[in-house]
Amino acid sequence: MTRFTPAKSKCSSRKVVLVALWTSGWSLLVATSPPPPPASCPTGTLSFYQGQVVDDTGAAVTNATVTVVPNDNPSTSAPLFADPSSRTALSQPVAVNANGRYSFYVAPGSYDITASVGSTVVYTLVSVPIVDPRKAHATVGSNFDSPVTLAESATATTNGNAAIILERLASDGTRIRGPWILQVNKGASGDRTDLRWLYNADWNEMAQTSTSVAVNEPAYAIRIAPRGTPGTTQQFSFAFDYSPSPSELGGSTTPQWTNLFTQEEATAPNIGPAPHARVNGTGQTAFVVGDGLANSSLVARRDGWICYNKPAPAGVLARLEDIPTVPCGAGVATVCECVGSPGCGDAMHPCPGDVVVPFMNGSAVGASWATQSAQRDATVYMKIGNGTLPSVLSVGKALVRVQSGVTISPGDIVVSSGSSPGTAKGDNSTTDPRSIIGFALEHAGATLPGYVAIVRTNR
Amino acid sequence: MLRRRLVLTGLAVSVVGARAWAVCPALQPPTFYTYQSDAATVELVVVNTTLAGIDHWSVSRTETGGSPVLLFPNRLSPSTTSITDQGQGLQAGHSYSYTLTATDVNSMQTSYTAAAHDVGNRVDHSLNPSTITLGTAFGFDPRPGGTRLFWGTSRNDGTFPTIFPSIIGPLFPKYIGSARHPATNAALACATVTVNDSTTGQPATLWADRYGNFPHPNPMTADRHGTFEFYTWNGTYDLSINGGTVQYSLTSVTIFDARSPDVAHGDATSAMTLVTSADQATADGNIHLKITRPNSTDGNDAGDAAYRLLANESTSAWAVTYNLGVDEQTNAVNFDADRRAAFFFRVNAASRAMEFGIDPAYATTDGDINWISRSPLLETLLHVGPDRAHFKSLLAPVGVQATAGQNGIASGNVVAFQPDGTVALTTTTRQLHPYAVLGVDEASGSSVAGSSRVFLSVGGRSNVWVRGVANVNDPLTATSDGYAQPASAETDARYILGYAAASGGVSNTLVLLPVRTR
Repeated sequence: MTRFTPAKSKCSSRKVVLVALWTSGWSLLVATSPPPPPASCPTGTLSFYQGQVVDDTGAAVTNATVTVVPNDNPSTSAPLFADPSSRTALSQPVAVNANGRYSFYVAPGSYDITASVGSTVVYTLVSVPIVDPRKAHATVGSNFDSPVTLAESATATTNGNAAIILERLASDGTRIRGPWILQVNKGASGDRTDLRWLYNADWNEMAQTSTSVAVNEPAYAIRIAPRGTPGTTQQFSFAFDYSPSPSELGGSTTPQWTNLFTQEEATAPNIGPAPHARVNGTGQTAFVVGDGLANSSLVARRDGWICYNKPAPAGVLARLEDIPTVPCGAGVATVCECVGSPGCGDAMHPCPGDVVVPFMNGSAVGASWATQSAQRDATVYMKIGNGTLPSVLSVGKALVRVQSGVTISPGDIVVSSGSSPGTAKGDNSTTDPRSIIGFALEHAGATLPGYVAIVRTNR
Repeated sequence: MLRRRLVLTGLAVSVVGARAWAVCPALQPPTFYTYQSDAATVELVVVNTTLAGIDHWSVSRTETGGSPVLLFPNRLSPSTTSITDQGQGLQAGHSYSYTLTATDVNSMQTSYTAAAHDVGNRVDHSLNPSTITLGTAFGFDPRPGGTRLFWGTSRNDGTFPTIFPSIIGPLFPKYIGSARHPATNAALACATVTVNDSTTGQPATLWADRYGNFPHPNPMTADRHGTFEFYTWNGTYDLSINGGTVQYSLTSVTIFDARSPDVAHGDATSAMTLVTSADQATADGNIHLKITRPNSTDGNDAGDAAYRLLANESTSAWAVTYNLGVDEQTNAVNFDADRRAAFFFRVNAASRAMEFGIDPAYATTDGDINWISRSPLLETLLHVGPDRAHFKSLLAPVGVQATAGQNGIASGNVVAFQPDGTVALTTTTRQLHPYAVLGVDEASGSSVAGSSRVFLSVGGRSNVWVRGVANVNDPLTATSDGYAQPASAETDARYILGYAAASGGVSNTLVLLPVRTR
């Protein structure tokens, strides 16, 4: 339970406080939980250096001064500070004290340190490394050398032998989130060491179980592991597991894992012995091919969607030729929005959100506004933001322009209107799937006046 | 103990004349090298220890056709093994030579010209004449038989076309020590210092320069003030100091520079814990680990874009990103370079889902002429969480993977699942649940039964072999030999693999047509 403790232990008292807080909140068995967070000290971003000027007899030189310059830019003076957080600057040269000593904080790097007495330069220590490894720094490798190699014991332990722990700590050492732990983990037997990122829980290699969670948050596990018999051809599986937070589990700090995604080699019912992918859920999970995620979707109405230099909005896209690269409106910087009647840009080309049907234009496939009521193959047009590959939204969720004055409610079947080219209407009497654009997710105009969000657009 | 610590940290600087505890060697011609280590950086290395007896040395640089310039620091300890000429006016493409001037205790000066080398790929090559012409690129020698790496001229001049840039080597930690009398702290002038590996007891390999290209003797000789220095690997060492009448050892001395390659052993503890602040950062303050490949000048150039590993206070609870910084206060992501693609692989703290998203950074039709500075707009292609799961593609069809149940399946074929979970070409006309084949993961493009991966289109446009005349929007159903056929009257969705996205085809002849698959 010391593996979260940094090299310096002078902040160890915080661990006691944290454990006390933890145990007062939940009935936690410390022995089976992730260890407390590391102490947060030292603070600041600077590295500390101290030295002493002595003469050849061993006596301190009390009237010396010290000048510090960056090794890679010796014509400049290095900014020195009296504290690690850059609050109090030190002017140069730095005078030694009565014992010939001097000290300063400085940004990590290599420095030339010159000791002088009066105006006489004595000697310069060249390229003195001043790097506190506990502070942010760059480690340089080469074509032959890894910058950092992290090695763990070959012996199974009651924790996962973490290689890296990522923490977000307050200045007093308080853990504000659970730790992310990267482990090269030993399996129950053989050489099934796997790579796993665990959040908010540790792994007990001896018992092959997870520990209690560290904080009142969900727990996650991303696992990459070899499967099969050691010594023979082995494939790797990939899995993502999830556990709700203790407050969602009635206060239990024991993770209740659900495997949400697995790619593995195994025999599975109705699938057979071949490698397969499995997407699981928590019982109510939908599986969607196409659009449907937070922070995305809804064609053409996303803030900042510019016709050029932007990836497309959500959806499964299919290429259509003969759509002009100049978007509706004019100019490369035009926002791809054209609320209003069809006809923005030019009379031949639709706008995002318009109801269109494919048509042949010479030897290429184009799109034109749907002009018939419940027209077959009607779909929602979207314009890919860049390049020469305009596309239509073929699967998923979209904002579709609605015929003026038409009312649409959630769940309504949405078809082309017919009376206003390029627009949609609700028609729950339509049964031909080829004529159904999709199903309304909202009342018309709820997201954007003149439009309605639909799902399951025609393909 | 206090004195010893001072010695260990290498901080003791003498200011008065030496008291000779040992015999200082007479000045011998030093071995003085130069090599280029970066576009405008030159390393200057003194390999032998015959400077130990002098008072100090200095280096001057002379540009071809110019006048000498005295480099800083201009009064170097005789124990200094190397310095770096950087930030003092070097210019790419210009030629320079270097001169070391040794000054003895009687102020007599002797000068020596540096031998110029290049050390690419850790192979030392002497350059003749001994001038350094600063190359602007680092790459493979393009000459016949040339396999080494070295600094050369621009890739565009035709003489150095193959560029494989790289940093010149790892940075080695430097140790600066001082031989001092254990009882009096007096300097042990020109003492002999031996460095052994603490684990093996064998003499350690020492270098005179920070990139480890030139050896440093072991044992070495301290200067007149007892100071000595060397470079070696991060590790633990035993130092033996022989000052003539005084000998002592420092055992288990840790020599470590955090910027040097290192192996961190964790055992039952974490090998490395990376902590960032609880404050919501607006820049890289929330990044735990940043991985870059700098200095490339070829197509692999990462430029300013970096990979990041982070635990975040914003949406990304945990993420691996490329070309993306995270502003935790606004929950926005920012490009390192807006003309480059970007991605994230993360656990979304809001949805509790695993996600993978990209910004493909499409090029404009006119190149960079009308490029508009932009912000990231990432599309999540994979989302697996307790709420839902979905995946999608940006410009290509969406496919699912299956295993080939027979030989010969190729892109454009029509297949159906078999009871054992594999797929095979359709064998009946209007077969149930047909799929268009996006591709087969074989170099030949043709499947091998039982092993090939076959990707089936489940959304978006695909190309399918169609037999017969099709009009745009015609439903397509399967044939009995693994192809598609127009079926304009078909209304049962179970038999429809997609709709023709173009008209074409010839009766009884196979034609590859674009199809909107379902």
